[in-house]
Amino acid sequence: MQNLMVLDTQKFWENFRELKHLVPSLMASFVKQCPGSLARIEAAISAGDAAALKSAAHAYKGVLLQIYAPRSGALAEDLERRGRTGSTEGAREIYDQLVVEIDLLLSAIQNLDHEKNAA
Amino acid sequence: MEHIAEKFEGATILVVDDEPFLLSILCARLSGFGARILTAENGQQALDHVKSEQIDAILTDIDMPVMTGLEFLSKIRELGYLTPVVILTGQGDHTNMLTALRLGASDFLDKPFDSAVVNEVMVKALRLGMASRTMEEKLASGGGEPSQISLDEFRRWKSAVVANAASAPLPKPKYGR
Repeated sequence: MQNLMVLDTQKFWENFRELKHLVPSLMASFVKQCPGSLARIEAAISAGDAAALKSAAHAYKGVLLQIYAPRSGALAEDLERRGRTGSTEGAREIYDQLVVEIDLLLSAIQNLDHEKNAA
Repeated sequence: MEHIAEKFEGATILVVDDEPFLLSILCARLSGFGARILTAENGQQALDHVKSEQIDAILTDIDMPVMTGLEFLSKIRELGYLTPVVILTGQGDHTNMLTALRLGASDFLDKPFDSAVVNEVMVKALRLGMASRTMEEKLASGGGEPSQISLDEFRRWKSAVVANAASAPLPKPKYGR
């Protein structure tokens, strides 16, 4: 997983170039929803609810991969897979890693502004 | 947008996804078509739109609460709506892709969706939707007289149907691991 990038900025700008004027508001929206997305996953793990874990992780995975955040996307996918097996076993450790990765991702997103201006 | 040359003024696109962020990205991408964009958070809301509005193309996710994208597709086909429906699929999700094909989906978009592919797929869907609408309106206004439709109009519609059929991807065979 360490081979994966926190944020694939090349792919990001390839796909968001024509929406450049909207990137600040789109990213602000993403940043705003992160706590809620993580909370839903955490709640599912705490409740031992595999179905809820699968659902919450699947939704977050889609968002993360759409903004080309492969490392956190892979962790969300791992959580989704665990939920699909009907168990939340081992999910807590993955979730903790995801929280760390999201922190890194949010820093990377802040730096996007500079790259946008240079792109 | 990514310099979408073809505009679809007067068309209506319905976008269905329960994830607000993805919905906003999709709507932003589709805004370049010049079409009206309606949104729904689940299949039931989408169904309500289809019943009350003239929709020319639909883009829908699969996993949604209340009514899934496949349930929605099944329902509108059952009710006789032939609107082109593009399904948002997860990578490698061949089961849902096949099910959607059998239910009458016209095309697919793999997530994460690439902007160029979104444009290409939706242009085809809108061409088909608009051409079908023109045909229906002509037929309806002419009291069913075939001469109300020109040969050119018929060829445009047929070409749009073939283009849509050709672009639906074949599922990749799994060779097992």
